[in-house]
Amino acid sequence: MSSAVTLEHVSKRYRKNLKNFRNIIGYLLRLPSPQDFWAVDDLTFTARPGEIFGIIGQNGAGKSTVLKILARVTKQTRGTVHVTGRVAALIEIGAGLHPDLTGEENIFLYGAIMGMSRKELRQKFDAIVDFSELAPWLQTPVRFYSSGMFLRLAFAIAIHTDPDILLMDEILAVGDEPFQKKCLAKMDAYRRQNKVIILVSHNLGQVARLCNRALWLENGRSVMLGEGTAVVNAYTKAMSAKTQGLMSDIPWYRREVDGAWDELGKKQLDFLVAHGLQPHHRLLEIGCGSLRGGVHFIEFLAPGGYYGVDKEAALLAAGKEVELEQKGLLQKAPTLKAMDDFNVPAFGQTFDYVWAHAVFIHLSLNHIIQCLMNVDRVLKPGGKFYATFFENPEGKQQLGPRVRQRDGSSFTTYFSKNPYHYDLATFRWMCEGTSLQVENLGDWGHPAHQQMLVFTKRPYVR
Amino acid sequence: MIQFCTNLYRHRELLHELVWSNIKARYKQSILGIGWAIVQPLALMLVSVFIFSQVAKFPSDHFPYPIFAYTALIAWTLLSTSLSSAVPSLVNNISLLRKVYFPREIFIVTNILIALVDYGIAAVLLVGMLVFYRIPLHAAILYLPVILLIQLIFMTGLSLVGAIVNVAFRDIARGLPILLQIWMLASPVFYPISMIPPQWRFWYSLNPMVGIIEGYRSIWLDGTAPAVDLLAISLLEAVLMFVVGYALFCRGEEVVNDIV
Repeated sequence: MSSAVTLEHVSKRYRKNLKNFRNIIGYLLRLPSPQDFWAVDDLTFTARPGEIFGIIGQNGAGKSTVLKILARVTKQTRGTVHVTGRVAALIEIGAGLHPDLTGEENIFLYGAIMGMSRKELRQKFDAIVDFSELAPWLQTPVRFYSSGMFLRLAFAIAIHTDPDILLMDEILAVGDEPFQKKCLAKMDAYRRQNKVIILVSHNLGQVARLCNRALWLENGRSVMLGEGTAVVNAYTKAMSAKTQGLMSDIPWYRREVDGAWDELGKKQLDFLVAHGLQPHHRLLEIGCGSLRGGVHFIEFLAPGGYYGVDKEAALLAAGKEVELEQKGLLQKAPTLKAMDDFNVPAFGQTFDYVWAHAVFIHLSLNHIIQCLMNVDRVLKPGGKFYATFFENPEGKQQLGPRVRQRDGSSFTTYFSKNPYHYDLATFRWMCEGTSLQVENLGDWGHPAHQQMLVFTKRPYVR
Repeated sequence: MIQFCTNLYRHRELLHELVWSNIKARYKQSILGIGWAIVQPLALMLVSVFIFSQVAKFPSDHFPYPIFAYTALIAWTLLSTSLSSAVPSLVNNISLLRKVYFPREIFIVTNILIALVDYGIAAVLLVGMLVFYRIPLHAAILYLPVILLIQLIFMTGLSLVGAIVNVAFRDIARGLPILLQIWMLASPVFYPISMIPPQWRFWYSLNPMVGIIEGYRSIWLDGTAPAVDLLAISLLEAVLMFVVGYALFCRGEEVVNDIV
């Protein structure tokens, strides 16, 4: 039988907060609510026989919802789904195993749950046992199994249901390498039997290697549908462009939606312009990452006026190849250099402004000193170095962590580990013996309330 | 109802496997094993013999009180075990519901069938008691499948509603034991229907369990066909319960996974 999966304009709406009586009744009566969101939004695709079809995307992109709709575990809100053939869904397998029953008894129970008849199971029994490598433990209740054995048993049963359509969600993380090889061989056999395999995975290498075609989902919408490797490559490229600087890699940045991050980049430029930056000035940005702020500076400054350093070469490359390319800013000839020792004097230039956004929050004290000493050498007399930090007003008197708020969620900064907080007195002490003078400008509109320090170089050298 | 039956038939192997493995699992690591099926009705009977027969001197229609109570108690236990296991069954199996599709009513029917197995075992003791008290079996016993079927239809309908509503509001499973206790007292389990004053009798017999329990008593003990009027009420209510219950269940089933 030729099996196929087709989705036409399929959407699935969920409601966020289905807890209280009114919400649930409203949901049952299909009343709209502000808490509705579309987990899958107008999705159309076909997976053909003999094809391994990959679905990739970030967490919450709607991948699992698609699988659940195909498995009939949940029903789509709109659109039509055509599925011909027996479906086996390997979504978080093992839920049907009964802990008190033996391995053997569970083969029959779980097999029945997966839709196999007793006769079929008797025929396949040996193959299942063989695949699971659990022959010596068949008479043991599965609650005594290790988690690996448990999953192996469930997987062995599920993969022997002989489905026409196999739905897999991160399944290949099961078991050791030999077992994974067996699973891959089985998948390959299915492919040759003209069956459909739909694979949801975060393992992009695997998707590129295995999948004939792939679908890239974002916020429930299809971004790209095409040949497996091509989709994975496009996805990888977009993701690395999205990655903020390595120096600002605390998780909430990455979760930050595009618009807000871009806004923050713009805010950085606005701040500097308000504090005297002019197009003819020369600017050094420390921790420029993939140029989310950098693109705004580069656009504003005259050609050659921007210098950016970051310790992660890959981010600089992504910033240059994706961001600058897209915005047509390459002809502005920014200077980008990967370094991890703040050796900015190597540029052989002096700067009117130096900018370090979200850098000190990731640096230990000695690194900050190293940074300051080097900046001191390249700043023009009267020039200014702006740097953001998390403030710990009590300084040495308060060595514990501090809980902070950002857009309603909280995170923690520490005295002695990343992300760090510092006090102004420490920065004053660091400036002793340099030509820098430090002041705290306080809040400047950063969403996580990083405050702004300004280091001013005295017009003379002591 | 046809859809319900075809669904069950199509998944009969799964149903069989679920019932069987549940029973097997239940009696593993238990000393009394299958004997537990008898313990509940037996214990209730012994207590009731003491309280209602010896202390309160309830009449028992000229039959020995133990067998009078036990006939009703095994039927009651069938109802209460079914409901108390079927109503929370969707919520308890939520991890399974989220991953594999098969008609959700399988869970309900599985639990009812397990209770039915217990009922069968408990009925063996009833036959033993009949022999002990020298009460002969009559041809009327052939009505047993009819009454049992009415009870099963009723329980299934009620369990379907209870289980699906319990997904959204867990109050149902919480309140169930209280409801069952009150309901048992409002059914002729420990006393004969003749104790109910005639002017209340009509309202009393609206309780579907009245017709069913009285039916069991007439076929097991009196050896007469069940009272048609009482049983007709039960049948009507059972079918109504089932139709409404299954319709509700089917609608709720679509959104179960979104709610839990």
